[in-house]
Amino acid sequence: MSEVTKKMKKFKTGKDRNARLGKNPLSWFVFIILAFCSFYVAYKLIWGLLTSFKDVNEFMDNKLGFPKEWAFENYLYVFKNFHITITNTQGVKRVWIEQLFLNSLMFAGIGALLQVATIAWVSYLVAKFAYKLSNIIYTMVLLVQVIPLVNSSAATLKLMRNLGIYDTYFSFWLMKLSFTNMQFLLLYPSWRAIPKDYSEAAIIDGAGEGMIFFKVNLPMVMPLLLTFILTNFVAYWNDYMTPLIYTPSQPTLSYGVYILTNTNIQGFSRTPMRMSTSYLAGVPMILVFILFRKQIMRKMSLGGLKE
Amino acid sequence: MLSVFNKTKSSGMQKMKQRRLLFYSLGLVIPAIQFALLFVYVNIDSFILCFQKYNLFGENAGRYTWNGFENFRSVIKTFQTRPELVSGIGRSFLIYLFGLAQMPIHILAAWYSVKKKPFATAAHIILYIPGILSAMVSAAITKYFLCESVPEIVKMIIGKTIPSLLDSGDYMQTFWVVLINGALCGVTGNLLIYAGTMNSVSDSILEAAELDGITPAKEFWYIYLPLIFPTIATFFIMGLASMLTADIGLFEYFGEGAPKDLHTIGYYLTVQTKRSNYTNYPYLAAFNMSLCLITIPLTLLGRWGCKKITSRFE
Repeated sequence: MSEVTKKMKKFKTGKDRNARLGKNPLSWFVFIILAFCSFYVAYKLIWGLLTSFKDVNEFMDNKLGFPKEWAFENYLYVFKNFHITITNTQGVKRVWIEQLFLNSLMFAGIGALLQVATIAWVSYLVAKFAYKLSNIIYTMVLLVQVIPLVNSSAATLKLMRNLGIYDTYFSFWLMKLSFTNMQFLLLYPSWRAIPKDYSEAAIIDGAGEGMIFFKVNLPMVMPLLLTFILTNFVAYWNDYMTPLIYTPSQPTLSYGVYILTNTNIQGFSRTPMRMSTSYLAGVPMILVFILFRKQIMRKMSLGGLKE
Repeated sequence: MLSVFNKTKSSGMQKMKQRRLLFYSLGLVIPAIQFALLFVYVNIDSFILCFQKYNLFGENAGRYTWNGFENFRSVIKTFQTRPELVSGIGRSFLIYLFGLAQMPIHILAAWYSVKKKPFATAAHIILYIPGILSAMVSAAITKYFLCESVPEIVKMIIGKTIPSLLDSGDYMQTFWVVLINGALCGVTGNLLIYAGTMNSVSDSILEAAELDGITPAKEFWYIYLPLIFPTIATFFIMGLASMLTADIGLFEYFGEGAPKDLHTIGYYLTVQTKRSNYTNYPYLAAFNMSLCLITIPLTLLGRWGCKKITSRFE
């Protein structure tokens, strides 16, 4: 066996060795940091979850242990009684948890779909149609990413008021019709990578441009689009600031948790009740994470997507 | 016969080109309107608003009129009357530096994940959960954990009662507690992007390095680090752009009632924007513009520096 072959054989086992900590101090260093941080996060989340199942009185004496009696009724109480009070030009109104949930769904679901559809559509046109305008749009998207515009929320608010869509779902959706997004830059190379042969074959078969987009090209980038839809859905579901500023009369679940932790709502001022409400608000995202973990945690690089 | 065929062919091609152009143009109408409104118009209007005021009374009631540099004077006055904002710049800078200091850990965590070392996947999943939850939900859990659970744990271990970590009145402690909590939860920050780039190293390069007897530390230093340098530079520049407004998530922890000693410009702007109406849009626009005037040269300088360093790496 030659020296090189021996080394090659060693390399194959070397890959396995890479997957162990061995005597490598760097690996041990990272391992210790990750283990400590994971313990901290897991402990905090489990503590919160256990607290959410404790009776309000029991929590006073038992802050760290398991609940002596699991108070499942905490969640039932939250579901039945949690609401926030909104004051707007039409007066005072109560928004119940079902409505908060529905508002979150309207913002996050439709918002994510609109955003990804717009990005997919425009990046497709720019990548596949070799007009001068396509180059201009691509450069513009790049520039928008680089130019550090700090904040134009005042002018955006003014515009929304002037358009008469301030404090409605439409103001949020309109903002999400934007294509000048990092996801545009991730999608663009994917469209470019699809060979023209498929489209040409479809043209010979009599397909129109719409058919080529929907039936030929779109299915090829669908996994990537699904990842974008999911990550945007999670981001919009968790976004409390946009509804707070642009649609204060359409509060979402995140907004509800903001009100809960910063005011004293009757029946919800004790820690176990606050934990129950917080966890109930987090359940949809945890479900999404469990169901679509692989898509959400897909590795991305600034030049495209790793399969 | 041939000429008729050619004529038909060229008119068919012409029609197809026209159809493509029509499809392209119609397809861009709505995105173009959105861009024109929410990027071009909004940014131009932001600029104009800086020099305007809203009239509540008089013949121009309900209209914006020219106000010169008054809004900028108000911004300067804000800094003179609110010393917490001046010290807030220092706090934002500290937050930015702390973020930079964490970057090597983030990169090492990504390397660890790419190498599929023990516990990498589990740690990644556990540390991803706070990111999946709303910042509000995460902050609520953290807030009560730090206030209720940690003092209890300390009492159990050392038998001494300590005050709540967030509302003890010691604001420096609160600042560092929240900052460190963020660092512990965000140790896998940007892991997906870093790991995605690291994965693009071809096996042949790694094989050649392995045959030369490279150690894991050298492999990381000489192969992976140069590869992800452009990504590091991007994050560095993005950080510069938001350096003046960086904060520790005060709004999530304290709502509109955060202690003054913890205020930052970012927090101040968030609260002001939330409370805003027609009358203070010009002031807010001027505030944002003032920040822009500082941030743009800073970012451009950062980009220039990064380009110099990248070219040296190459």
